[in-house]
Amino acid sequence: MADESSEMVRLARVRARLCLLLAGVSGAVFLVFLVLLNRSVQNDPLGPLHDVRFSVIGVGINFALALSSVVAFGYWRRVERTRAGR
Amino acid sequence: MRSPIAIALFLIVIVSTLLITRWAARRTHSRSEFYAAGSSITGTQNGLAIAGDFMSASTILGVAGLAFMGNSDAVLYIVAPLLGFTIMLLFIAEPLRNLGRYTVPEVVALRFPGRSVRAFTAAAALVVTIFYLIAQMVGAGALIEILLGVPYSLAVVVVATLMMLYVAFGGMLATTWVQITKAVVLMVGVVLMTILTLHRVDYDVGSLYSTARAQMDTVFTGNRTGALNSLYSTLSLGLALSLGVCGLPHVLMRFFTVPDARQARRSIVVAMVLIAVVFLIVLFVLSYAAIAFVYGKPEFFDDAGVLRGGANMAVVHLSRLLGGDVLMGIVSAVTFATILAVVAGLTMASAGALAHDLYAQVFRRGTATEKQELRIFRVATLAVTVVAALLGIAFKGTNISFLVSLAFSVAASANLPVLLLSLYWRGLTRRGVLLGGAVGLIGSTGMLIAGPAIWVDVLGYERALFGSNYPTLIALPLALFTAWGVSLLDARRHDAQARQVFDELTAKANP
Repeated sequence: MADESSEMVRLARVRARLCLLLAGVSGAVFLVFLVLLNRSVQNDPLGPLHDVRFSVIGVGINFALALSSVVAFGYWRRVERTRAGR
Repeated sequence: MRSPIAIALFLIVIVSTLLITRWAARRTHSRSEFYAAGSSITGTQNGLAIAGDFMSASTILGVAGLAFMGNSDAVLYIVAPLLGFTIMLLFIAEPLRNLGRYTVPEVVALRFPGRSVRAFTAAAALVVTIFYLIAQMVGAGALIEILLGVPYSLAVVVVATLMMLYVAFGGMLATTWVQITKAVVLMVGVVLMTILTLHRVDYDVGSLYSTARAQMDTVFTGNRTGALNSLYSTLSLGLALSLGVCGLPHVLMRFFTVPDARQARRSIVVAMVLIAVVFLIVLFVLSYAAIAFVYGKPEFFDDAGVLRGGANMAVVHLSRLLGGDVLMGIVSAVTFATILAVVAGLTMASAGALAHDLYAQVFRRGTATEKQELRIFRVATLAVTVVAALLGIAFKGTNISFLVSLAFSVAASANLPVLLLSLYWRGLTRRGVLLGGAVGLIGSTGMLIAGPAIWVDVLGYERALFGSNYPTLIALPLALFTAWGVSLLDARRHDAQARQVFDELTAKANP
């Protein structure tokens, strides 16, 4: 019972590190996007609205990353379930 | 702007939601049914309800309103929640579902039993929900006043009465189905407007953007103000909008309504996709359509050249332009349904914190019976309704976006650090939670009060004590650092038993 519990804690730590990595990538890209947004407004206050491509690409990349994180997390959970099944 | 079609559709919304409440009331008897709909909601249904909770009228109309005024912050409001929901999925949804039953403070209290931590987390949850509730009430009063010609105070009282009926009689089941209905109706409304907009430009999106760009060059002259003007404000608002989502009690509470962690994960994925699609349509189609078509139509502007009802009404005016009184009636009814659903969710979270955490656990130390707690829940619902209505009337005319950002800042700076550290850091101590949380709560609220929006605009002082309206970039790290530092200093008190509790909870939270 104690072994099972400590194995759960170990797996939870591994999962937390994976989540940290996924969130870190999304967060870093988001921060870069924020800086680019800020720079765009410094050049032209209407920059992000004027240049639709800029916003579409920025929003698209963030959206794709969010979905990728969801898929990667779902895949990891499936791997965990398969291992537990064995 | 009063139209018989709009009034008829408003009445349909009221009758439908009351019928839902009547249906839910017959199925809601126990504590679990009141707080968590008996954990009987599926992941997809809960995803729709979370989307409904998050897409408030001020969010949808506000984003389009910002773009309509040439404020580029609108782009930030669209992107930030995506990161927030990703973090919620990765770190919060599953442990919260596995550990909690009814409210978020309950989860933190599992790690630190006793009254102090429970009282603090419940109080922080109440502060966030009340700020958010005021914003919704102010928005509701203003919108209904404009759409139906009803006096502001009466509109606030009507909304408050309806929200009390949903929550006090139908509990979480009624709140959830009102949310689901609202989310579906909202999406239908947004898609309908998109089709009509594209039809108007012969399905040539390029021509929509070029028309909008031409209008922008004509009407937007001079410097534009917004958070994006400074790097500090950009980062701080970005942080508040993304991480604040993860600290909103009325959104987090929804994870207790599903049967297991798998459904909790599915809820977020469904919510994230729906919110992203609606937000993208609102920004990239409806906002540009409003700029392209509403500007240049004098009937939508008053003698001073100001848009009737303010910038938040840009989408409503666009609907009249695209589909006449019928479409405007539909959009107005959708907006009304949106407000009702969001205030119901917020009331549920506030009354839950008051009845379950403060009354049953802090004051009665867990000795209250289920019947007593549910009676207090109904009394708390009434109290929250009265307070929300009074504050809604008192705050008439206050900037809604500011009130919402206040709620997000406090949620990101006080609620989120406490929740995340409790779930993931073994070294956290009780003092660390209390002092870290207090610094986040007091720091974010204090900096907001000392900022230009309150210190100068409301209190009338010449210069603000704090130079920005966005405190999260300072308040959140300060809260984390305090919790970390105090916990390290307090380490001697942190015995082996406390570490064992953490390990047990980690195993339970991540089976």
